[in-house]
Amino acid sequence: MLQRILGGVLVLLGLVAVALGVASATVWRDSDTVVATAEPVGDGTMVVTDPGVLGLVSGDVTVTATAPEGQPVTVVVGRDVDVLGWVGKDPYSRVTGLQDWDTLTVEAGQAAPADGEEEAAPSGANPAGSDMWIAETSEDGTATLRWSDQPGRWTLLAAGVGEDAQAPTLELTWPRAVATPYLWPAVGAGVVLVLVGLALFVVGVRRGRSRKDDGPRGGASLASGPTGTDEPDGATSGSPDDGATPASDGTNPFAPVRAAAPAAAATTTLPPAVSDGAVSDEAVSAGPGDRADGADSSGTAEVPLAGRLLRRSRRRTDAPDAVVADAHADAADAHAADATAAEPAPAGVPASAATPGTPSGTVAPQPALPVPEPRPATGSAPYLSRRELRAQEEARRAAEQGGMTRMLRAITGSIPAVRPQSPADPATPAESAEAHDLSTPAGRAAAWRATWGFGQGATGAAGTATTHDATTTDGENR
Amino acid sequence: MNRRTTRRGLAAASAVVVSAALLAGCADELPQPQAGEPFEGPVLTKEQNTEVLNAVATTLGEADKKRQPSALKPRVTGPALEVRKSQLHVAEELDNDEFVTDVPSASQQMIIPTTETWPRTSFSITEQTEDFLTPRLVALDQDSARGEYRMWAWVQLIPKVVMPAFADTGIGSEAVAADDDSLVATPADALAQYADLVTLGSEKSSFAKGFELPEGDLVSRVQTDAKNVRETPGFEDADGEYSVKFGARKGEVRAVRTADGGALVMGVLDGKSSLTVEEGGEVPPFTETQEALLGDVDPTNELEVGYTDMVALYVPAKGSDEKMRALGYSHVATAASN
Repeated sequence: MLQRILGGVLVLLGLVAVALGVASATVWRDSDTVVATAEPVGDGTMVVTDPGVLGLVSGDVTVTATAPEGQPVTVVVGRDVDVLGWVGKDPYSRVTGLQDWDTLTVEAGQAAPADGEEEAAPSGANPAGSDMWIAETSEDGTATLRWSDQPGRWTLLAAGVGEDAQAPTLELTWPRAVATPYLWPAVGAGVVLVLVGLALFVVGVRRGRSRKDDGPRGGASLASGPTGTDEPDGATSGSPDDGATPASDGTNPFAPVRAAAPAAAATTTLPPAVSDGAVSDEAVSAGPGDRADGADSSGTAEVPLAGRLLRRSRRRTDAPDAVVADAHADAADAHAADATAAEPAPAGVPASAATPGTPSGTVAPQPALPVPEPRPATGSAPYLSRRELRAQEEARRAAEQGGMTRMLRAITGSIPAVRPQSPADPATPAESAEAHDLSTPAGRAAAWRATWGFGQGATGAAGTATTHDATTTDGENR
Repeated sequence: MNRRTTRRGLAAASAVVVSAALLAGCADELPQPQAGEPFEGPVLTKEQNTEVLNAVATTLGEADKKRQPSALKPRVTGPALEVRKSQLHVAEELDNDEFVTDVPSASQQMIIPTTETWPRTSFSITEQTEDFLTPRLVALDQDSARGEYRMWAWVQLIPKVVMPAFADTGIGSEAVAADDDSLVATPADALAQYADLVTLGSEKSSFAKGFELPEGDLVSRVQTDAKNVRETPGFEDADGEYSVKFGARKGEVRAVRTADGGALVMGVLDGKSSLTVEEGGEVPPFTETQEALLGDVDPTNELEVGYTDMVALYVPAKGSDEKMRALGYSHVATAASN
């Protein structure tokens, strides 16, 4: 859950970073132009820019001169000497530079009229048409002139023209190269964040999904665990083998159709595996029996997945595991006792007892259970018994304990967080729970226990052969 | 969960850095105007000067077409205006444009001043005319900053004359004052000497040594005319007297530096020729121009013709081996009376 949250937060941060980066290059990007305005001062009709003002921000400038009330206005560019010579003694407004990014500094350009000169009255003279200008334009109201800077002291003169003319307002517009230095770094960082976040999120979701799958059933298994431990009574003689015995009874009404039928076929082919009665049951859960009875010799002996997980999880939980195992063993023992009581077959020799002593017709295949080959045949079964589910749950727990390693694997995607185990799983419990004689209360009880997982202790007790499990499962699959 | 907190911390830190950098990006310094180097070159570009010449030619063309002297004013001034007015008047009188000097606008060489003050004078050597007459040398004057360049004078270059070299239009040529003493003679003096030469002829004038007079220049033109008049049959018998007097008009001098340190000088010579015969005699005007200028009057025993002659001289720098040289002239009668 935390991983999902963290992943979500990272994705969010990444998106925000990308958005910030994009925004820095779009919405927040500095304007492509600098627009500065000069309001004329004094009572002249002319506005003159100082040399260098035209190229203040960049080489290209667009000058817009606006005269009040649509008066004619003329804008010209010439050499500073020529412009000032043309202006002569008339008062004018002098643009000296930028005050801020929006405003130009304007000064009164002409001192008091020289002595003897007639009062320098605004003349409204029109500079248009002089031979000296290298650029000029005249319009009514608003005149616009584009100018590309050249070396030299080029000066702009804007004049209101005509009687009662007033100096125009200048607006200088420069294009500006706006850098977007944060765009790609921010987008890159954002993408990285998003990817990392997504990875975390996926891990979280997978884990969550597996938990969801297991969730409700896990609860049941948890309940069954303790239940098993509730029966510690005098199971002193209980051994794994004993515990396994009932499993071989093959009276379970639920399982036979699926698991037993193919198993029966297998039985005939592999009698040797059955010969060792003590092991036969274990073989079902891929316990030590495989090793002990030389199931290895069959070459195909394979530990049922559920069994692996089961044992693995138990091994992981070590100390309690042992207890549980014992408890289960005890329970199984009792179970076995029931079965024994109900059936003629001696509990001590499960395999042999199971095989011939099967009261119900469905039991015949039971001996075959130890044989791993049939497993695949059951793989198509979609149903999971509680024991299987518990096995899954435990496997999941074990997997969770993998913590970081598992997460990393999940990130790389090479190995699923939880192995799909459903195909193999059903077999295990089915077999272990099968052989109950439902005709007797004890048998039914045993079947019930087996069904509800109490009997699994017996099967699970087989887990004493954890060493074998470790070699196969851990070595290969994990 | 240290790892997570670290990661969150990193994310937060990077967010802070990004936003801080964004804010920092908004604070650029205000640029200050960088005034370039002062202009030193020509006051007009070649293109501008071409425009000027075209404007002048346009004005001349329209005025010529209408034979309307007042139409000249925007682009013609000084002696040029004076002469042109007279020419248009004559053309009107004669209903003939033959004696109106053709001034082409196309320029084969521009001589653009570097003068930062006013007046400014630029010069242009035009191409040949459509009639394959010699190129004209035109002086254009801008008397004030708010004024236009106007044609101040023109001369027809003397055929085969060697023109001095001028600075390139991209460099500009320095104006030379009328009293500039870096030359073998100041421009004003040079004009005065030349006027004396024109008046007296190269044989009598004391300034003849200082001048190199190409064949066909104003001196020979005036003196030849005088000789022709005096040798007219019956001139002696009628007690005819013919005198010619030319003088440089003061203040009407424009000069520009040549590449070799000399100067091209243009000026105006006011000339007057007087012809007197015995009482009762009649002196008819010699030319159609004089006739037109004279108007509808009966001839008398006197004839005075006034000339406004624009001349161009090359005045070498002081210490030069070269002599002053006449480059061209415009000899136009502008007044006549009897």
